[in-house]
Amino acid sequence: MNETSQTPVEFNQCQQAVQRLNEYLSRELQPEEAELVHEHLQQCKGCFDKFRFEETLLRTLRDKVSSVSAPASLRDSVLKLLGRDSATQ
Amino acid sequence: MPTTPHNNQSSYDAQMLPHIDALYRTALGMTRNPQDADDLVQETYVRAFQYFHQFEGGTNARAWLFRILTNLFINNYRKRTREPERVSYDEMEDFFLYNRLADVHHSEGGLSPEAAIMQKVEVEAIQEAIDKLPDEYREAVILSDLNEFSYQEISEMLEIPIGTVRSRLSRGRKLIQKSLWAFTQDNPR
Repeated sequence: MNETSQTPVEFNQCQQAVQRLNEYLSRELQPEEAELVHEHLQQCKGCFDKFRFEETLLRTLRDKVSSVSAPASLRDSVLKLLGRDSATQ
Repeated sequence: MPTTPHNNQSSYDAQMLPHIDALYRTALGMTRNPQDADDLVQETYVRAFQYFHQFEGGTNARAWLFRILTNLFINNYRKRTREPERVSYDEMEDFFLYNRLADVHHSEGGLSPEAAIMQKVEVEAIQEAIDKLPDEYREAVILSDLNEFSYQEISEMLEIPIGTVRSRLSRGRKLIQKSLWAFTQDNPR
């Protein structure tokens, strides 16, 4: 196909990157696909900002939720169920 | 009750007990009920103890525990009568939350979308957003985004094809963004 304009090519690249967003975020892309996305992100500030936002969002969700711990009473119950005499851990 | 020989106890404790926080968070997200989450984690540890002889030392204890927990959840807690959601979420825009926050940033100034997310989104908002997800999406999001299991591992835990993991995660993530946006609108800080 003869490409006469830059715009459709760029649009196509953005679209292809966005199609891979979820697998990119999950680190499920094959290395060569991940490389294509990385290359595009280096060239396209719009996609770079959006992808970085999505990564930050996921990391924020994970970090904030990981502040929730199991209640001490649950630890005691588990140790008792397992027949441990001391439930002081 | 446990029948595993005493000399296995310390090995079991050392490998299994450090994961109690992650198991509890996951159980809480899946059951949406602290009492059920307590029960599910206790059942998981008892089941893991009973089958500890089948656990291969050196393999991933965390993934093994999560497989037990997920299996117990699916068999004993998940509402069986629910039909999978038929609504199509595919039309939901990509980057929904980024676009909303960028609009605010451009019209009112203030925090960039990234800074807004880090400052405004509290654990309560996240839990609420996850709680509101349909069961199927919630499980995929919890296992993937909160616990970083691979699609393959999630596929095995939930006994669904990898393509289904992919689509549930994609939709789940979009719905979470919608909920977080609604939360920040309802709870301006």
